[in-house]
Amino acid sequence: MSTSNPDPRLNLEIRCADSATEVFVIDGQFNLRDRGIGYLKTLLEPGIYKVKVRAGFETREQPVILRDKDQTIEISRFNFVSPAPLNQTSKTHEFQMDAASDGSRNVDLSDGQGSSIFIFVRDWTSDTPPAQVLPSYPNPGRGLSLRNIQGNVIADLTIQGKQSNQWEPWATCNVELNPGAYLLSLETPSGETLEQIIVASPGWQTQVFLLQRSYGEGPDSQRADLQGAAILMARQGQGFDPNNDTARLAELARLGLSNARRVLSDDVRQMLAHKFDNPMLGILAAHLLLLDKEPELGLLSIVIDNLRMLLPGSHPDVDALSLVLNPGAAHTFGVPPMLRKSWTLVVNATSKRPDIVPDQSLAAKIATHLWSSDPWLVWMKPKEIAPSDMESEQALGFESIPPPKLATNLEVALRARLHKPWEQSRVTSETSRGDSPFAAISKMTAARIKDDQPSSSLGLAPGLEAAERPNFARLGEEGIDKLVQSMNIPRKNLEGMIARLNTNPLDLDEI
Amino acid sequence: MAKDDWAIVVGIRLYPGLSDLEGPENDAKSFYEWVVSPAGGDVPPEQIAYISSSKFPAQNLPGKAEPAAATVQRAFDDLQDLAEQNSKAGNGLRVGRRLYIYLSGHGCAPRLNDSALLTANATPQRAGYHILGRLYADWFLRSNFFDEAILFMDCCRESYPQTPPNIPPYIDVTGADAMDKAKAFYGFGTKWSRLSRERKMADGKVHGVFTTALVEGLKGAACDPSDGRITAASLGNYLYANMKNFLSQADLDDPEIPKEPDLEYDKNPQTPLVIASVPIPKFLATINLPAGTAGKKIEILDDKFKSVYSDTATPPALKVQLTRGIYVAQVLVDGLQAPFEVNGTEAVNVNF
Repeated sequence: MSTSNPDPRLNLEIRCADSATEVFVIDGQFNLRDRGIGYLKTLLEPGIYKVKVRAGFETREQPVILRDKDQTIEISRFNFVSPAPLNQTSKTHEFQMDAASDGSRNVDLSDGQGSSIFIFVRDWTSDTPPAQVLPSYPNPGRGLSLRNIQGNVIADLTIQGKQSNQWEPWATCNVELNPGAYLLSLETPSGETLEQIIVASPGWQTQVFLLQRSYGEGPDSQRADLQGAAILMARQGQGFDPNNDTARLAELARLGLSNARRVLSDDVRQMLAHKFDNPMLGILAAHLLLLDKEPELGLLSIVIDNLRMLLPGSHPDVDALSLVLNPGAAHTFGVPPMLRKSWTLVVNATSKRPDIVPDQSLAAKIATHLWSSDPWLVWMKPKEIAPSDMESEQALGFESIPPPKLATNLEVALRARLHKPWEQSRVTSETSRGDSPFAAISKMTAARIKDDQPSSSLGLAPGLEAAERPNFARLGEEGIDKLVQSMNIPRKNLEGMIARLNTNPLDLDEI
Repeated sequence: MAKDDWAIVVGIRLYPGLSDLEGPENDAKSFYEWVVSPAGGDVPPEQIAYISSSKFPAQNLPGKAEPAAATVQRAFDDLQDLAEQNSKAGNGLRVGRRLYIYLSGHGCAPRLNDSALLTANATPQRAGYHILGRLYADWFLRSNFFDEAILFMDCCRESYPQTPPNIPPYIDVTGADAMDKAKAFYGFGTKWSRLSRERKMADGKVHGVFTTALVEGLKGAACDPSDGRITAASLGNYLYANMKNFLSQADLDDPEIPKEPDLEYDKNPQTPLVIASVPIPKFLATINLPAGTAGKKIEILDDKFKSVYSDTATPPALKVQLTRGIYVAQVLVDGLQAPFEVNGTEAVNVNF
């Protein structure tokens, strides 16, 4: 009879109160031994380990001694930062939770029916009031408005809705609307206008929560932080609940997406596969699925089907996600989606289907004016370049630029991307003179770059033959795919830019 | 001497079109001193392109400020030309074994996952004057001009999507077997869309938090305590665990400040990238002993419960030199046990 050697390893089980918490187990040599999301059970040799957990941008660490018995560790909720005044998050006050809860249940303005958009913008500076509390504080909603797609104001938070100008001020506006896409617009202190799409869906309230951020220097530079917004959804009439666990999970999903972290735990995936009733969580989770090395397309299909049931009609983010499974789907995107990652799906689709972003649509117009990082698609409203801007360019040392030929930075980058410097084209470069920064290379014979040999360039010299100018067709389909993806600009926009470059050749010396 | 290694080290602190910084030249100097040192990278000085603001006359106009994007790009172009010359000489279309790229200054992220060093001639309207370090490193690996690329960037990565990415103007060149042989370590001081931090450090000068942690690691704190090798994995583990120890308390308390860098490297233990080898350092740990432990056995065990120190406790404290790792101090007879970590970056004070 043989005897078996018992497995000397021990179980370490880590349970997290927040299912979107990342868990890492690190050994004494600081090597990562195992990882999980929301929960981890792992077999380890006896020893001393470090357990590290992360939610949003916050981390915690604790040592674990695994000597002679299994161990279980409970990780409590993180007080992560959220613009939504959720319970057990940092940067919130009870009075702000109450204001959000009340405001979301009382209509301030009516411009339609069937849906609503609730905006709650606030400031947070400290847990407790300072020694000197001012008699009044600036409206955190100044410059912020909700507009229809044509740009007409529906609600101006500078003067409409409810406000508190006491310490840690807030402003809210709850607007009844017809279902559809709307613009959240912010005028910054420097006069620029930032915009993003907010979709109002039938039977739902879309809730937008914003903290403040600085848009320059000085005390008056603070305005609503569009890029950092929390956007949640609740059934019409339910309002905002600071204790809603699904809202908390949606916020952690948003933070995961912002950081490109894969934070979908197994139980969240189970929930997505069977039933979920928060569409914003579904949309964010679908994009998190696409971060996996091998995305579960079957689960994605289930999520999209569920979203279609929850959000009847067209929703640009759901339509964008459906392109992953059905690139030929008959959707067009005249209105951009809410999420930056949804926009990337749309842009990538344009390389094969240029008309998916219609000419002269809002989406086409904002395509070269993006402003934000993940997760939301925010753009700077295009404006004409004023003559005074040309003069200030000249004052900065570029005396040779004639105003009519001033190229945009995007056009310069596009030209660099298309040009082939190894060809024997006559190009100019400001680096063709002087010694190499490597002393070793300077010493070597025949290592100097001559003025008449090709070198790096960002433009084409005047007099270049038409056949040598940037040519979209010459790229081939694979090249077009790469160009669209690398510049994240729809195909038709790129074609238009190249056409302009070819009719107005630009000399490098003009840059 | 690492005769086959080359380095491009850039530190830009003067930006007439933006705001001047304090740390980048100090950081570039710190990294240069490591990369040229026989105890460090050991790269021949003439094979290092050391480009910094102080090597050029100061300018008031951004359009004339140096080092400009083209000046930094010249260094990469010259390496390409050198490969061509080596090929004509019958030595193969390549430059050498390893390329170090160190970039420090203002930065931004034109696209997802980008990290761009803004050069001295950049302005808010002309943020297209930048160097996308990763793309250059990738190019020199893919082309097989180098076998290894080690990139460090201590720059902000705030998303600035209006910035057109300044893609290296090189056609794609893929060397045979290049991607099978290539080894890389890419370290960015902050995550995408976040800011990096600089502050006054122990030497009284302003340094980037990432570079401070990095140079301490490269000097030895990041070595594997079993063999003294600094590998991509050991450096990565060290930076993940310890960069936060160089942040100010205000930054530590700010949940929106990332406490970790952004790193990319091959974690396959079968094919480690060995960056350097150093004598295995030890660090001081102070174990504070309660009065009641006097005369009893105090023991320190490593992470595998192997005894590395054993003696009779003599309060108030025991001071012991230990290599990096996780330990437990115990006075078993009193049931006292305190796990602790020696990470090589901060004083270790252990209390039961």
